[in-house]
Amino acid sequence: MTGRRSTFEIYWEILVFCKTPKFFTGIINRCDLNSKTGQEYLGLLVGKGYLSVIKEGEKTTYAATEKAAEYIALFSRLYQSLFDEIPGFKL
Amino acid sequence: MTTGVEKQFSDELTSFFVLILLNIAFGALVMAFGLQFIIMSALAVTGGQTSDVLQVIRGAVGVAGVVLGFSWLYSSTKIMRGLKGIRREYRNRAAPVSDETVIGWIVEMMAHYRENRSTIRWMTLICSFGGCIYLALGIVNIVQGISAGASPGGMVMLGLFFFAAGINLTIGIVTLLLSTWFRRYSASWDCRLAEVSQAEDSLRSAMDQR
Repeated sequence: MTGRRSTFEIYWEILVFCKTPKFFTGIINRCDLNSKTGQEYLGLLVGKGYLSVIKEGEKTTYAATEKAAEYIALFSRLYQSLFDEIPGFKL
Repeated sequence: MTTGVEKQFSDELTSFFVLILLNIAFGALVMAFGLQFIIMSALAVTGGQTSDVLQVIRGAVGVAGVVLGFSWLYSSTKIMRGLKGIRREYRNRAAPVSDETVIGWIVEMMAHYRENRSTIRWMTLICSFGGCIYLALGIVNIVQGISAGASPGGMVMLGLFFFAAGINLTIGIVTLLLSTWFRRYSASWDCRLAEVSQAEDSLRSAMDQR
């Protein structure tokens, strides 16, 4: 996904993608982030307890926690209401 | 839960896609008319017909038309580029569509609108401006037709001028309609952007509670 996304939209994308454990490279590629911003976002989400870091030998993956499910649910509800409540455009 | 939202998303996506396609078609028409004016004035100058000043004015109008048409086409294709990706994803969807997939499309449309907001506003202006010019040209054609029809044997010219007026007035009206539709699209998404900034406050406070 590209374009101008808000920080919260990027968090949502990362958390949805990490429902199953993912590598750092996979996350930044999927969410169209560079390495620096990717580390910042992941650091914040890990710090808030939305992502857990799984280390297996030299491999590190990130997985969404139960707390992330709450964020995803709230985000989905808020974004669906944009289409439920606001009259849309139709020719 | 998402069926209604998905339907609305699909309707909006299709409507906006059609709007951009129409816009590209009319942008191309403006460019073609501009080129026609340039060629006509060049032919008239080389053929030694009428005054040079009139031909220079006609040529300048043609150049303005080409520039306007090019700008029109460029802006439309810029908007189209992002939209095609979203449309492709939507068309290749696998049923049943999950909540997350629908929300993903909404996020993409939101990002697309944020990125193209100024271009869409520019498009609205171009369409309004172009529509007014075409309406003016149509009115000029009608006046020319009436004055040509008054002269003896001028019925053929009257018919030709009225035919040209019909084309110009139709393009003018459709172009002004395009501008109104762009305005409606922007109003809808501006409203959503305002809602999103409120939603972000809720998300921020939910995150800060952790």
